Amino acid sequence: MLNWIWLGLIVIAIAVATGRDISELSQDRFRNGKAIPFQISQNGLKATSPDHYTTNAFITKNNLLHFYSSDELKDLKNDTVIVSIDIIAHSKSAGHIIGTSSFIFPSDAPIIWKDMANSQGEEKKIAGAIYLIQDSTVGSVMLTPEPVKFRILAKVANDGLLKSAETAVTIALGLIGIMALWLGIMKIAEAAGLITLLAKMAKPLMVRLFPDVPPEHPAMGAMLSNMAANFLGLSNAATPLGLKAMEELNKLNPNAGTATNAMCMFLTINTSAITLIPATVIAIRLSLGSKTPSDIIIPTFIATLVALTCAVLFNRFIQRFFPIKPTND
Amino acid sequence: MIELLKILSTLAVPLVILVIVTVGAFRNVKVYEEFVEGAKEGFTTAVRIIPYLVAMLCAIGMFRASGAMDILTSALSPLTNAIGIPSEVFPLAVIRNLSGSGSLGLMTDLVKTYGADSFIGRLSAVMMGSHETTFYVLAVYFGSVGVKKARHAPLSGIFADIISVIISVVLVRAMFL
Repeated sequence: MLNWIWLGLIVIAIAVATGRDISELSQDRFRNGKAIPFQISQNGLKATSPDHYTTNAFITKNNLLHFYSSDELKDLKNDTVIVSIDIIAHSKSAGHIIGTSSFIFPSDAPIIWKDMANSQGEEKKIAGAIYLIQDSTVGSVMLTPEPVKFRILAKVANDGLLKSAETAVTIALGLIGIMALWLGIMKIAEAAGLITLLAKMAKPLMVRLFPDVPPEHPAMGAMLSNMAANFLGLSNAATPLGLKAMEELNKLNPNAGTATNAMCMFLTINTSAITLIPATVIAIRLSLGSKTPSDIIIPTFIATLVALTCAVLFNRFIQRFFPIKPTND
Repeated sequence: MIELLKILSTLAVPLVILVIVTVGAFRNVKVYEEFVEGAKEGFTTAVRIIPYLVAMLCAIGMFRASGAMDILTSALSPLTNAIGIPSEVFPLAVIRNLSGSGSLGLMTDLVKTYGADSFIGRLSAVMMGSHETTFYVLAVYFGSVGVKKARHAPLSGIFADIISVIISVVLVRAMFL
């Protein structure tokens, strides 16, 4: 099952990214290789060093409409867009500058520019080649941005793949301290007999949920303490205790590498996320001006309770369709 | 009542630790030694889940970066409209299974845009409160014991999520509209 989900996510991601990239290229969405015609006002050009100039330039909405398809400019509110251009001159003659440049656009600029900037790894800055003509009254700037090609595939590879791999390790290493803390506390609770006590109290329920687990097995206590932590909203504690429970359940597993019925049931209970107080959500609502931030507690609780009940019954029903196949690998 | 619940949730951690340590001490448990003994496992468990977490988060990261989510949500919108899920909230219903930080960001955005006490604001809050990042839990829990064949666990996890989304919509409609 996980094989298919994993494969599906990756194949769909690459297919969608390729499709979108090809469609952008075939529609020439970014007008690759064509120059955006900006205008500069009189005396707008300032030299900051012999080969380095800065200027403000503008383009009217009409000219943008000639350049990009009208869909791209739907959100554009102002009639002109003003950008600030930074020029490094490669060759100069009277009234002409040829060089490389980058321009910074305001936040109300067309979305298409934001996509172009993102593909160059910037927020509001696009780099490209420039050809500037200026006489005594007006000047015009022909700015050809660097071509944008396969930007979504590049994003999938960078943001999707490399950053996620890094995040995964950060999360795992971040768990070390909290794991050690709660596994230590759990060990004291075990030695003090508290876990056994908890298991005894919830025995009638637990033996029905997990018929394959012996009632006195330590897995019962570990699973219960995980459920209690989840219920109280102690998500920091829930993961270490849950992993402890999985370890205990795995001791009862005759086929290493394949999930047992009890493991699947335990996971199902965990993913239903029954919570008494969704503290984070309440805090966010409060900070965004809710008058009654806590009034979501009851619907949240009922939703998770119903989901939990349904999922437990569903899980019990479908487990027969997923027999354990002993494998050699 | 609500105040009491809030205080309870703040005090829960210190209280739990206090009770466990005191009861342990009363029953002559060598609390310090036992703690260290248990804590030793923390490192190995955390390191053991890395490959599983990398595999899962990379696939999810690629899926999100490709924009496949938008295509999925617009493809499913006739179905979701039929059961009364506003199209603004549906992406949250999908993403809450995949990414905790992603769904928190999206939920905050929805509450900010539509107002904390609006229907959409309330619905997204309830959905967020009743969420669990199913695929993260699957990867971490099964990964920690080296289980690669998850059998029916993903299916019933997804089933639980679908049910909780539907119930959230029904309840928020009934209670706040």
